[in-house]
Amino acid sequence: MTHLILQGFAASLTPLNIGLMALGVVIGIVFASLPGLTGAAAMTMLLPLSYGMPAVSAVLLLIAIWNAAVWAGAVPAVVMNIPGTSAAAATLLDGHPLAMQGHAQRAIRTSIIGAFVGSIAAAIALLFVAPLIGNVVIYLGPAEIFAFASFGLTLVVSITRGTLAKSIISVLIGLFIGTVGFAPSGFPRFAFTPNLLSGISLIPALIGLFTFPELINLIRNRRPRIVQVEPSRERDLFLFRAQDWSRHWFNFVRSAVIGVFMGIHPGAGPTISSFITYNEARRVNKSDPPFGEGNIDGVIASDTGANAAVLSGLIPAFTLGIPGSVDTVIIIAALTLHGLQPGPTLFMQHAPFVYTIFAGAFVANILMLVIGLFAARWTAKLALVPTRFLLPIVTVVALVGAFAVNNNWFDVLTALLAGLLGYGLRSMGISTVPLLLGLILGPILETNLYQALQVYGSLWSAIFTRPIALAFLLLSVASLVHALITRRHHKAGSDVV
Amino acid sequence: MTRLGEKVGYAAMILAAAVLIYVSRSYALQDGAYPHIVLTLLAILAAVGLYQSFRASRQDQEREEAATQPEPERGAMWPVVIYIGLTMLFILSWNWIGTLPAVFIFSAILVVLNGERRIWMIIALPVVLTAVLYVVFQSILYLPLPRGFFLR
Amino acid sequence: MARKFRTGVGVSAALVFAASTALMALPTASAAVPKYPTRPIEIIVPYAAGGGVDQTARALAPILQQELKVPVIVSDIPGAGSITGTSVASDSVADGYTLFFDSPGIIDAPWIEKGVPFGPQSFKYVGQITYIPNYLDVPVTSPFKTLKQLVAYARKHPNKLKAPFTAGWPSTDVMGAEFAYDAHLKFTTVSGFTGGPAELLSALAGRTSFSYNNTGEVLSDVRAGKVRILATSAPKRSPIFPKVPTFEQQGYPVAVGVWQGLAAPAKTPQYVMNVLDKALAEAAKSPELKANFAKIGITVDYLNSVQTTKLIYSEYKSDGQLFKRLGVAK
Repeated sequence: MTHLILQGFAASLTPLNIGLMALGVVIGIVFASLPGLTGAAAMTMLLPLSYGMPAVSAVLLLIAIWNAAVWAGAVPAVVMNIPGTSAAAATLLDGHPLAMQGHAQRAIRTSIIGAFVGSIAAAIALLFVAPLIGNVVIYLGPAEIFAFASFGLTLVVSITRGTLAKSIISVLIGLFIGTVGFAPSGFPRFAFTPNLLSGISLIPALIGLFTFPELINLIRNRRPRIVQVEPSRERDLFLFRAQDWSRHWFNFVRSAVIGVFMGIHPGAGPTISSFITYNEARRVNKSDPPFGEGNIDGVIASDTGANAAVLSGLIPAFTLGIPGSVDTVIIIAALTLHGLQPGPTLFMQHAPFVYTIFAGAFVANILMLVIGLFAARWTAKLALVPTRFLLPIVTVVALVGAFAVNNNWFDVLTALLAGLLGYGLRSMGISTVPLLLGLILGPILETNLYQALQVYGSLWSAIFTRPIALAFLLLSVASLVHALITRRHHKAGSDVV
Repeated sequence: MTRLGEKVGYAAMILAAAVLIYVSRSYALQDGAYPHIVLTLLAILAAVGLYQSFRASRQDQEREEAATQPEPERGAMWPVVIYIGLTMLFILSWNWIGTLPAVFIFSAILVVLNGERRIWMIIALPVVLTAVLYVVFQSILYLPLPRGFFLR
Repeated sequence: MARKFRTGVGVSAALVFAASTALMALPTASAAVPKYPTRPIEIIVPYAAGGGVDQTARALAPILQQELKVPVIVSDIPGAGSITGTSVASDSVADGYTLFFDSPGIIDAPWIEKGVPFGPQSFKYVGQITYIPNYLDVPVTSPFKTLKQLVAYARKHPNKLKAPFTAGWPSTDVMGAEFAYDAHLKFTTVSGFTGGPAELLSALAGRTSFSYNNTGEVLSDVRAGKVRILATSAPKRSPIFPKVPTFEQQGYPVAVGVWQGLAAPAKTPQYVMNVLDKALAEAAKSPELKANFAKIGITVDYLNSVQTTKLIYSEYKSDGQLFKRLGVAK
């Protein structure tokens, strides 16, 4: 084992691999920082090019893009209030208020350090427990996934601000949009054109929902640029000092552990993970300013949690061949393109390959930290770009990016319509963050409930023969009740993310 | 009239939910029950919102200070309408003149409308934007962007 | 039609290759037959990058490129099963510069989904290049050692065994339905799977009784001794799993596999088809293609234009009958 790990490090540290990983990190950051382009898009487009590379280099390039992109989605979330990836939707809750107060650079630096801690935790999990966990994952079935998704959904209510009714309206709209397309039974619902058969594409919807309301606000309020406050002149040293770590270390650790756990679970992924870790931090944190108004712990929790769930997603992908997300589909494809079949034999027959990838994950993370810290200084300045340049650039890139996801013009239309919906909701004081979660979780929730009923016969036998599922369902009820009680005590402000 | 947009929004939700339930009325239980529950809840909450909105605007009227309440400083709506209209035209034009020419024209118009008057800037931004998209999508990634009728 | 724009790789991409193509365009051929091809060719794959069909197309493209002497570019247009990309391809200009990589999606969707603007008649078929068999498999811990035992048990206990189902009728599930019908068996259907790997996982955990998969999905688990294959839908035993009998050998005429090949929009002129026919036939003989395919776990199973067309239309008919019997035809 130690032998394999050391060999893996040696094999991953070739100039070619390091160069490709650095390139991957840069590509991931650029793609995720531009609203409209995503890491998955970059990976899809580069997959054919990886044909000509050795298998190890191809996979390392892809995971470097993937991991960096999940982090870098936080950059536009902080700076523009537009999450570059769905996982960054939790980051904007506190990251953007920080930017509006002139602390964009601090928020971005915190997010990259959080992402680094989370990624390292995931890489450690890969290196030491991957084969063990793989066998456990098999037994997490539809009942458990249903329970996880319900838990994720209840968080929305406690996380977002504005009135409870408005958050629930937003979730319901998301849940409804999630029902468009094939039902779990295979029946096509609300598919008024064949373009809707496989549902509303998530990425174009994400692009539209968050980009257009923000741009329209810029126009409507005649803001010459996003952030009005001059960034503070003092050098910001947050997290470069030991005392910051003594205050925040536990938040990093807790978020990393939860994130890794969510990541190994097929179907959960970085988005749900970041919301859960954000909520955990919010629950225990009583410091000022409150969460949602620029508390740095919110950024730490969401970004650590998101990236901890990225590389840990490779565990079910490699050990079982089960992709948890679009990104893992592409990585599995890169394996098969090179004649490697993911699944139990991968560890037996290609152990050196697997451990080179796992060791490479560490190297990719370190590259991400270095490049990200450097980028933090410059990307923070995006908030100062004048509206007259920002508006055309972001509009065009977002719409062309929506097209690039599936090479489909219908997605461009989807993005624009989602944008109008998002603007309408926000002008009514309804946040679109719960909508996004409803859209992501809705299909998972329904499909797995439906499947659990078919497998176990009834809801009761599904829940009461599956202790993990039962525990998480009780937890969701508890979290809902808790949220309702605390909400009554301090009525949240009506301003909306 | 205050809160008009809010009322229209809630009414639209109720209407949309009703229409969607109507068009899906023939779905089998396993396919229809879940969306119907979601839509019904949505309609109920929207109705509550609508009711509260009416009550709130009556309170606004009753209260003297309602008129002097510090409304957030907001500009006129027409630039937004123009922006949305142009964006709609922009994406429709992809199929006619092709994406890249459309990008060039659209971004130039937006720069001008947002008050840029330096002629080199009006040209430089669209040129750079179009060139970058061309290089990334067409040359490196072979992504077939719509080309329109003229450039087959 | 919103998608009229997608018509071949046009001027822009052609410019990139101007240097190489200009050389070939210069000596104009005899007046009767126009010269083809003179600029890059695009092959539309109606599935996402990294999927099985995409992998085959990308393994084939470089070999076709050698034969046709112009760049051959694969572009993926996923969405709505395969309906989005297939619609785009069937609707594109029939000049031989936009081709289509066909698979059973084109004959199943027209039966099941409303508003599908294409059918097998929307294309001319250059040929089949590979055939990927499907399997019915169980975890090794399953009591069923052979298909016979499974059938006997299911006869005695109708609706006791749980069969998986993935929305959108992938060919693996068409095979499952065909088998259940031919063997007069009743299973409890567990639906909501996202594809073969998820079906296999569920079977391994004992939540469903068996799984329908293709070669790539079960290869690793069979070699690791975790999965046992009971039958294959291929017309003959596969060289990869020579011990696995076919459904036909066991008395059930189930032959539903994934054929993949090259097609062109229906109005493509004959001189273009002739060039493509020859190129694909040559590519099929290339040892390089065999090596490329072996890497992704598939074999070269070439059929010419006539054979392929016949096969596709006959499967179109038989699948239609199956969907009508199952009551899922539109």
